[in-house]
Amino acid sequence: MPTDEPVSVTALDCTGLRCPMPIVKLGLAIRPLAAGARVEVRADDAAFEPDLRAWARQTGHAIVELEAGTVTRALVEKA
Amino acid sequence: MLAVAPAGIDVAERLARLEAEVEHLRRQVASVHERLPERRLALCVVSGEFEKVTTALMLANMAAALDMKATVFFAFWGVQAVTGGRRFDGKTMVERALTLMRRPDIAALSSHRFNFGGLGPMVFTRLMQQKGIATPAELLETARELGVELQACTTSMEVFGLHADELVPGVASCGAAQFLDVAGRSSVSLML
Repeated sequence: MPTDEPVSVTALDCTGLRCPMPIVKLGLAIRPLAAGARVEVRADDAAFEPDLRAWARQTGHAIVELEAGTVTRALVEKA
Repeated sequence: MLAVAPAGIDVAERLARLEAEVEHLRRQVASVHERLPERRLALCVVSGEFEKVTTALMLANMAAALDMKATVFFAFWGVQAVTGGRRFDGKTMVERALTLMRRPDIAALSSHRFNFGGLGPMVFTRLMQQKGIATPAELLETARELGVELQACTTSMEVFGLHADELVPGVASCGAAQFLDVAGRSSVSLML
């Protein structure tokens, strides 16, 4: 039996939104969460992937998974 | 009286001097610490043009999303971006004329290019909405939600005869020294 506590994952759909809103929405979504909580974000903004990397570098939050594509899907974990 | 104190008494005096020196250094370190740069974006927005106000607010919102602090200081025409309506009472004739001529709020800013009597910004706003791009009014609302510090220059308000109750709620008035103090401690400061 797994002993780990289930990690809460918040889903955030940012498709259709353009820079800076996907990262701004992600910033707002992650603020109230506890450390270790995860957000699964989907976005189709052209700048999303590099912006997400810059966001992680600046904030210290981790990118756990990243699937780039027409719609990029990323799983991030709050530091 | 003896001109030379015995060695044992001298120690107490040297200790007192040393303590005074440590206290002096402690104050200096605290003073330097107060002026150290922090992760903050400080913007001075002099223009009230659609493009510049939009860009300034996009950057400020992004900074807040990056866990930076953000301060936007609106001066001269820039103050139009943070006004929330018009009032005419308690103003001189010239101030009333200025109140009538200036843009009433952020949703009515003129653009630098392609303004065409205000038609340009209307088209830009429509296009932005269709393309999922936040409009200036939405950006201002988000900035307040994110805790971006929005400040209107007191002298500019005086020039236009603007009253504090004509500013969007949450916008503080601010002097130049206050802004320079913040800008001096910001890791990024830009003027638009």
